[in-house]
Amino acid sequence: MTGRNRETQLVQTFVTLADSLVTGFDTIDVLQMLVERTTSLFDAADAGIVLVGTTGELEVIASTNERSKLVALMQLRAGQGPCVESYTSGAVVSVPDMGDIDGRWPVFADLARDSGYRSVHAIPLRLRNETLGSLNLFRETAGALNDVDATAAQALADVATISLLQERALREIDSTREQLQRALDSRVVIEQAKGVVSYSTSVDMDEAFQRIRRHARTNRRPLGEVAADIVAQRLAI
Amino acid sequence: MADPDVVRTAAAALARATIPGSDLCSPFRDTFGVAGAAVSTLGSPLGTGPVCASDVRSSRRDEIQFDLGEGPCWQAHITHRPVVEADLASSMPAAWPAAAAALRDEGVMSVAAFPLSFGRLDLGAVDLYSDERRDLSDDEVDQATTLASIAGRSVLTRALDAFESGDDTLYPTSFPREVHQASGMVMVQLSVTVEEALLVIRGHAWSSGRPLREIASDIVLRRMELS
Repeated sequence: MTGRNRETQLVQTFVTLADSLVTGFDTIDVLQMLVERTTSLFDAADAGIVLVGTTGELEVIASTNERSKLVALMQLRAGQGPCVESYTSGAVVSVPDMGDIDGRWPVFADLARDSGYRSVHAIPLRLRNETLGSLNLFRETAGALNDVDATAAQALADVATISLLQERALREIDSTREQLQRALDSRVVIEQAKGVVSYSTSVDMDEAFQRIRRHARTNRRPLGEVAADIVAQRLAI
Repeated sequence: MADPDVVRTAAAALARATIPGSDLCSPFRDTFGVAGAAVSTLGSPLGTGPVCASDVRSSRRDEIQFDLGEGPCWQAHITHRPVVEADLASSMPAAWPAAAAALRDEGVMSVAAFPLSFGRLDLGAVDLYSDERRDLSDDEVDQATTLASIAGRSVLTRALDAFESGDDTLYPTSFPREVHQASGMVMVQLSVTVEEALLVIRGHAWSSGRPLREIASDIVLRRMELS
């Protein structure tokens, strides 16, 4: 969807899976809070986040307790399971009944049999076409993740993902913030200039704007600059 | 604590509300059972102004804070922390005394504000207003904080869409555009700088007790001249 692409325009230039991720204390803190909130929000017994690390291997970065951490680790060791598949496929992987997975993930099924979890749902941590890992919900009851839940969970996963961007990405965010701020400042000045021209030449705001634009076009100058000159009284039109 | 089913439904609704005009406010109002909710952008980089309000009174309550430049939404935005005032009648918030008095006059008993952000981009705030006393539990504060981060994602999506398509109408300036237009007019009229002109207009709004937007509109429509 174009909406998602535009949203991730913010981050589109900077993530490659080989780069190191921010794993400072604050980030872990944020992720830990997120898994705890996810747990209560989705009525899950536990939640965990696995992420690809510097070596290209998946690691468990946060989990609500040791049991879910263990189940996540089992999958990583076995190289199979919903957490892993969500990461490799970039899609939500929903396991409504853990009793049913022997055919799909035999090694994991064996390891997870005594875990006490009846259903597992893995939501990819994604940026555009790259997946960084997965957010995983572990429930003690069976059941699927419906559309509403899946949408809400993906939104939360995106909130988690944005917290994980490395330093280079954060500079890009600052640069985007600056661009938005410049656009905002430029708009303020243009509105002020409209007021000046409107009052000085006794025309309405729309006509005032047309006159400013015409001047900018005729003199091949950016609209914002012309507006700034008008407000600073360096230019009268 | 709000029912998790309700919260999840609200989260999905907020996540889908990426088209301008789609409703980011009812999910908050309905999830927490408050009189009204309003979402705003504040300061840099998206400007100060309304994103949505569940009703006219909530819109007015947010506008008071835009005009004054202080209030629970500003405090939440600046401190990155939820602000919960359960009883405006008896408490005196140190950070926004003028806004507290004005909100009280508007019938607000309890107000809660949550930062509207996405990652490190601090965009504004979500305000929940109640006319009767409404305490929020720690769980509800957590839930609202989480929902606000999802709303932040949608607001940023809208802003980037507008920015990319060159659509200037979509997100506000630091004041409504009429205020800046009026500043330009008053600047010429009184032979002062544009900053001074803005102060004159704001002073007039403050002393007359009318919304800044209205005063500015009167000036632009030439119904009023300041001297």
